[in-house]
Amino acid sequence: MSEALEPLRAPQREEMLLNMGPQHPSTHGVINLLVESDGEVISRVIPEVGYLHRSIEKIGEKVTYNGFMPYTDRVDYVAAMTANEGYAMAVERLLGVTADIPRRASYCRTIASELCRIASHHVSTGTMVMDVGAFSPFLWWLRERETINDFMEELCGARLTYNYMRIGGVMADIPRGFDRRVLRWLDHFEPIIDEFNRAASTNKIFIERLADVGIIDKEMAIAWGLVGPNLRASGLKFDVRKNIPYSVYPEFDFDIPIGTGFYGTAGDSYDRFYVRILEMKESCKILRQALEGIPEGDYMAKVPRKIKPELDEAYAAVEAARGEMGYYVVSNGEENAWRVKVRTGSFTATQVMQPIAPGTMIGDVVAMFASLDVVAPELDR
Amino acid sequence: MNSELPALQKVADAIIAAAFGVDPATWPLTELVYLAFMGAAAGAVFGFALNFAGFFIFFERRIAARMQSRIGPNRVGPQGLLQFMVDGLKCLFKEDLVPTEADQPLFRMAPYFVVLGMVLAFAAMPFSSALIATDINIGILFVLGVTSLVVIGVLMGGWGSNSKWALLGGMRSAAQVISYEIPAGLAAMTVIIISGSLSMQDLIAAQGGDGIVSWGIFHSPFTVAAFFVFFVAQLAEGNRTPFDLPEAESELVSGYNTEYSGMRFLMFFLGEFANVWILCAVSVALFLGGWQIPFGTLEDGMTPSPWLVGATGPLFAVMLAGASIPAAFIGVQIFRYRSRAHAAIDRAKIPGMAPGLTRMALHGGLDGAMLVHLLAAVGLVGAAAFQLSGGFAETFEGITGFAWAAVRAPIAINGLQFGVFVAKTLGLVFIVIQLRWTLPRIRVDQMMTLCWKYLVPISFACMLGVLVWELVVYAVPILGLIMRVAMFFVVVAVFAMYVKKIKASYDVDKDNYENFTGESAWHPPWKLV
Repeated sequence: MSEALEPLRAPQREEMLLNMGPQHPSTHGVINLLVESDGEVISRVIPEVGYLHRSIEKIGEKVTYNGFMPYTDRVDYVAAMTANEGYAMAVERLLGVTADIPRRASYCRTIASELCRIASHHVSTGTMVMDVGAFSPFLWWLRERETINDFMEELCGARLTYNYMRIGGVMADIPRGFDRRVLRWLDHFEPIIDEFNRAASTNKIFIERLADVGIIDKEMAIAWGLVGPNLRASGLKFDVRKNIPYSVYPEFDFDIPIGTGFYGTAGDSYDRFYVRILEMKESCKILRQALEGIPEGDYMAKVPRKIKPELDEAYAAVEAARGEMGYYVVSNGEENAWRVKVRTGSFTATQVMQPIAPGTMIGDVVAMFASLDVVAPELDR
Repeated sequence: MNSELPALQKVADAIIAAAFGVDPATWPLTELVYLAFMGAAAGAVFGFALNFAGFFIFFERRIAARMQSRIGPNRVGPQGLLQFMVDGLKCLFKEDLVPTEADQPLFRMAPYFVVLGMVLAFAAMPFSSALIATDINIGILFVLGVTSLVVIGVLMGGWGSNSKWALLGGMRSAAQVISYEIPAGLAAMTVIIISGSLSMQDLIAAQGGDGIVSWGIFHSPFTVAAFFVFFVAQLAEGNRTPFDLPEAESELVSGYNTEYSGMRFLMFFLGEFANVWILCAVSVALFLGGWQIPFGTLEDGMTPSPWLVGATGPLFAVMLAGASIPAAFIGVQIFRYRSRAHAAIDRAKIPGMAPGLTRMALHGGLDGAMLVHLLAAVGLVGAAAFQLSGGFAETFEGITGFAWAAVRAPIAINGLQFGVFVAKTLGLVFIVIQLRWTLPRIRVDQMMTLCWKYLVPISFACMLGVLVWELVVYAVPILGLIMRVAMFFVVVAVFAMYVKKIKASYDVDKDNYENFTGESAWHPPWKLV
């Protein structure tokens, strides 16, 4: 591990330096992986981050508390709902209104977040399959994701950057008939997961490409600060929804899938892939329970229009699609936050490429990087 | 068939004798007529290769779209059939970029090698018992050899681009093609042992006699295995999924053709798609009976029995008339958009040495393509009419002294054989397309493992097995036929299981789709707009 962290050196004899990115088709966003390879065999990978840095944390200090909500969408535009929720929860804790949030609002948030988690895992697993060469399953996922986008449009009028959640609740109640339509889609979608598994997950070549590739064991995952599906794939059952419960998640019955190393070793790329597939099924379970048990009531708490918290600090973590997403907000009693810090899963996931990549092949780097599900805006913010 | 005169020469002789009333053996201009025939054959083969590559792109895109819940190209021409033409035209108009640091001669030459390897392979492609440009006595060796020429071009492009991605792609391609030549050659040896010849026509002729069970694949379990080894190895040589490592988009950006644009990129593309035809056609020629008609025996194409001519004549006439429809359609479509296309050519900024000449060539090419397609349609309909109306042909002969009866039967037989060969090859092409859009790509080391640890030993075992089995059959001849029939049923059973599995999977998804959308999952191809 220590060699992997040594500073950039000139490539050794017989080695070539490849810039895998920022315009490479499989980095899915502007990330640069500096790859040193001897032919096909990788000797070193150095992730170069910062191409998509937009000073979002700084913007958080310059706009009002409510004004920052649309910016949280841009922290992770593949799963914007959870990013919304984390920030809303942090400010609610700062204001001390967490207990006042109506249950209906929490249910709305859960429904939106879980739909968004499925949509995010669509992109994640789909591109993983695409990166090892199979194109069709990716488009099947995009087809299903399109329906989720339609639902989101019904919910808040936007298809990608939702700005749905508010400090104290949500922007709007779920539309009439929304629950019925989503339940109908879930009936359709759950068999599609099996269809996808038949086409991709159980494909011999696919398994050969991902199993035993990029193994991250439990200790290493903890040491490198991995979160979310990447951590659970290593065999550690840690999920913010269960271990640090928030919102109404304790009311639902769902499992936390972990990597078992069914086809290879626990913590390999295949586990990271399959944990996400299983998580989609769990999200479907939560969605069913939430849609069937949604209580009547308000969707917004009584929160002052001009938010001016006391001199205080608050941290709130949610289980986003890419793992624990934490918002740390410090107030100095003004209308703007004094400091907003966003902790995301992609940043640590990118760094872990350094120890796992050496000794593998160029095709493996692509598969590993896809399995870590790094999203550039979440990485750089 | 090598012992006799080439079939094409026989036809030429018959036409000389009939049309000019001279003995072709002593006539001084015979060689000129032969030359014209050869030129026509070469043009037909090259035209076939280009047209096939174009239509293959269309079919591949439409089938891929089907598999991915999309519609696919549907704007240019009927159902988007002419999309490949405008794509080609677009590529022609693009600037021919050569990177500053590139090795200029290598970079510029590379695409020609790819196209050359592709076109040369068509020279020994047996479309029917007479339709073969040249039936050289080492035909199969020739085809396997010249298709390896493609890798020279790929390697040149990869090295000459002076790009690391292109270099990696070229390296992968070289390693892959050189490795997979071995199992391909060894698997081909099985059928070569059976027929005792390397000539394409002899290889196919040896697969006739008892109808479908005479095909090479049904000879013994060893040839069944050899067929799969050969097909997989050919897929690898043609850089098709799951062996498309040289141009792995997600790994190497675009592989060896990363730096190419415009016309040169188009040539790489063309070579790749025509290669699909070659890999399928060679597999068909070696193992699936080539042009042998499944339920009949046509060992000697030139002297068929009268009833066979009676049956194949009308059939071939229908085929000819049917073939004229797409030809006419393309001609008419080009005619419809002719003025607009000419205007576009005039407006276009064409990079290159001689813009005037290029422009003239494009204008000429446009009108030429239209005329060729329209003439082809007229000719095909005319040929169909001749084929059908024996009485008319006799009258024609009475007026001009041209012996239609002499060439009518062979044309019918060869036409049928051509149709059978193309149908078989398209069946395999369809499987190749399905594989492309279904399977992921294997890794470099797995590709090598598959070749050296599995395919090479299996193909060796198949070769030895066929040798032994040939000896057994020599001792007890009836065993050969029993084994052939048994293998036929085994292969049919395996294929049925494959279809059944797909059907079961399809039914589940179909019900789901119909329940969710409330519309039928069956969309006929012709109903897509």
